Amino acid sequence: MTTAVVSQASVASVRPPVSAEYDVYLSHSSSTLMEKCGAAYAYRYRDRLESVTSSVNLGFGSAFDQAVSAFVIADLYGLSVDVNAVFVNAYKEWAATRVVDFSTRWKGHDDILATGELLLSRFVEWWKASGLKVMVDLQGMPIVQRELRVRLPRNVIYSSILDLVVMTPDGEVVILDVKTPSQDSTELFALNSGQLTGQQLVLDAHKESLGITSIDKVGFLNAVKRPVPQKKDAEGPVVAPMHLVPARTPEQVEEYVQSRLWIADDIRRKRFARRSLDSYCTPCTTMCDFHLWCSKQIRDGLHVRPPRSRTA
Amino acid sequence: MKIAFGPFKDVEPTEDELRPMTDRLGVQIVRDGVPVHIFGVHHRTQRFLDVFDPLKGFAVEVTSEMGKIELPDPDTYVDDGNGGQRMAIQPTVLFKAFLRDPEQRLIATAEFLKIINSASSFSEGHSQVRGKLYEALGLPGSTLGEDAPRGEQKQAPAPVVGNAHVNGVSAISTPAEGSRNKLPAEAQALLEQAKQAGAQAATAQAQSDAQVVTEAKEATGDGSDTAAFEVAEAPKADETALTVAKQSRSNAAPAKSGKGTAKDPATPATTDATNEAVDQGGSAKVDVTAASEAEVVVDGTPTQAPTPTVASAVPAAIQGVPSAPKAANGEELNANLLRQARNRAQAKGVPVPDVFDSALHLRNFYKQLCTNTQASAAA
Repeated sequence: MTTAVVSQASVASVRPPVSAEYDVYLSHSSSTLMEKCGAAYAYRYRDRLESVTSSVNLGFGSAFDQAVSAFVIADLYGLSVDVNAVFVNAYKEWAATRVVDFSTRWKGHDDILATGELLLSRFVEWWKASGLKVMVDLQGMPIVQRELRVRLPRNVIYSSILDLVVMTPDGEVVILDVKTPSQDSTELFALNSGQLTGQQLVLDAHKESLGITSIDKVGFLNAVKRPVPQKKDAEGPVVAPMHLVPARTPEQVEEYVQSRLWIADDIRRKRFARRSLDSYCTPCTTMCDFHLWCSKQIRDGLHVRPPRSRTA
Repeated sequence: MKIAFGPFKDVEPTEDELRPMTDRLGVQIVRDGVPVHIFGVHHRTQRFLDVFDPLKGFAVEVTSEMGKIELPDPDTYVDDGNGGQRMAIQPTVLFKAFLRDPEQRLIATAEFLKIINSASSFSEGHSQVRGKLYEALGLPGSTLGEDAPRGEQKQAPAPVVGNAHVNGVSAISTPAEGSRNKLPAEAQALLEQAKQAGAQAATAQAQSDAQVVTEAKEATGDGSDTAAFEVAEAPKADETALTVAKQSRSNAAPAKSGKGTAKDPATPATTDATNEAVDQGGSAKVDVTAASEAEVVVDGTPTQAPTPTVASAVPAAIQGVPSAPKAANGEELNANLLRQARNRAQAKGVPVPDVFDSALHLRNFYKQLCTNTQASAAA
C-alpha cells in the first residue's frame, strides 16, 4: 500500500509522510537496556518476559526510596516520621509477594533490614547536616517521586521519575537521584549520566508549570549498601560524599534527545540484535535475566508480565 | 500450517504459497520466536475454488457501500497543530461478501470496513473481504490464524504545554499524565497531615495578622487610606484572604514616593497593583498565587474569600509568588528561593520579613532557615 498524505481543513500544514512513526514510549531504564542489548530489550519490553525471581537490590532500593520520601516530606513540614518502620514495612511487603534472589553478600532478610536501618539513620544525619530542602511546586506540593513526561520529536514519549528536586542552602536548585549501590560512583559518572540528563530534560520542559525558574545542578545521592559490619572499625553502609555537577548544557541535552530518537528508530525497525561486546565487558552473563533463553532457548525462570495499558 | 478441521481439512500451503508477514517498515514479524507467514488471498482463492467450485454452482458475491463512519488512517499522518502529528481521518467503504451454494442458499458471509486513502483502496477492499470470507470458512490468512498483519497500537498525541529549551521537546500537559505524583503511601499520608496542619496554621496566622493590623490602625487613628488596614477589617470568614494579603505585602517593594498610600513609615507597603488601585479609588486584585485566588477590595467592600481548593489547604506561605518579586533596593528576588524560604519559615514558625532589603538578604535568610536552629533563622 502506498502511503498517502492528505490535507485536512483543521490542519495548518502537512508534514512529510511518516507512516511508521507510531508512538514509542521510553524511559531511562528501557532506553538504556536497548543501548545495552537489543535482544534483552525485546525480551523485556516486546515479549514482556521477566525473571520469576526479583533481586534483593530492587526491594532494598524501593523500600529505601519510600523511607527517604517520607522523611524528606516530614522534614519539609516539620513533622516526625519513623523512617525505619517505613523501610521495614515496605521491604517486608515487597518480599512477601515474590521470590527474592539474594547475592552471596547477604545472608537473608534480617541482614538486609539491619543494613537498611543503619543506612537510613546515617542518611537522616547526613540530610540534616546538608541543609538540603525539597522544592515545592506552585501548588505547594513537594517535588518528590514526581513522574514527568515529555513528547520528543517524531512521536517519542520520554518519561522520568524524579526522586528529589531540592534546594541547597545557597539557593541552588538541584535534581538529586537517590541510589543504593553497593559502591560509590564517581563524579565522572555524574557528569555523564544519561539518567540525570533525562531528568533535567523533563524538568526543564515542565519548569513553568512547576514554578522552577532554573536548574542549577544535578547529581546522585549514593547511599552505599553494605552489610552491617561485625568489626568495630569497619565502615558498613554509608552515605557517600555527594557529587553535584553543573546542570547539562543545552547541547548536552540535545545530544541526549537525539540518542533517544535513534533508540526509538531502532525499536521501530526492530533492531533487536544481541550485543555481546567482548569477554571482559560482556553483558552476557548469568546476571542477565535472559541468558538461558537467549543462548539456549531455555525459558525456565522466566514468565510473561501482564499487558500494560497506557493513556498518553 | 496444516488445517485440521472444516471444508479445508488437511489443506497445507506449500512454501511457495507462504510469504513472511512484515510490518509497515518491511521488517519480518516474529511471535514467540517464530516468524509469522501470510497465506495470501490469491493463493487461498485457488484452494477455495477447489472446494467451492463455481462450475458446480457455488457463487461468491461482493457488494460495497460507503461506510457510515470515518476512521483514523495509520498510513497517513498530518500535523495536529500542536507540534505533533496525528492520524488523518479518512472515509471508509463497507465491503460484504456472500457465498451461495448451487441452490442459492447462503453458506457464509463476511464484512470488511476499508479505509479509502488511495486509488487502489477499493480493489484492496474487494480482496480483503474475500480473505475474510475464506477465513469464515476455515481457511485462515496467516500462520497466526488471522488475515491482516497486526498493526502497531496507535495513540493520539497528547496535548502540549510550553516548550523546553531543546527544539521539538514539549511537556505533556494533562496533569494526571504529564506530571504524576508517585509518592509512596506513607509519604502521601504525611503530605495530607502537613496540609491539614498548614491550613490550621494559616488560619491562626491570619487571625494574628488581623489583630496586629487592627492595632496599627487604631494607633494611626486613620482607617481609610491603606489597603492593609482595609484588609484587616475583613470579616473572620475571610481569614485565608487576609493571609494572602499579608503575603502580598511581604512581596512588595516599598511604596514609591507620591504613589503609595502608607502614611506611617513603619507600616508595610502594599503591592504596586494595590497602590495603583487605591490611587484610582477602585478595587485591587492582588494576584499572589498562580491561581489568583484572592480578591482584596480596598474601598470598603468586604473582602472576597478564595474558594477553598486542595491547593489552598496548603499553607498560603508555600503557594505561588507574584512574578518578579523585588527587594527594597529594587533587586529582583529569586522566585524559587522566596517560595522555599516562605515554606521553610512556615514549617519552623519563623516570621518572614515583610520586605527583603536585597537579594542577598533573602539568600542569607534562607540559609539561616536551613541551619535547623529556629532562633538563628529568625531574621
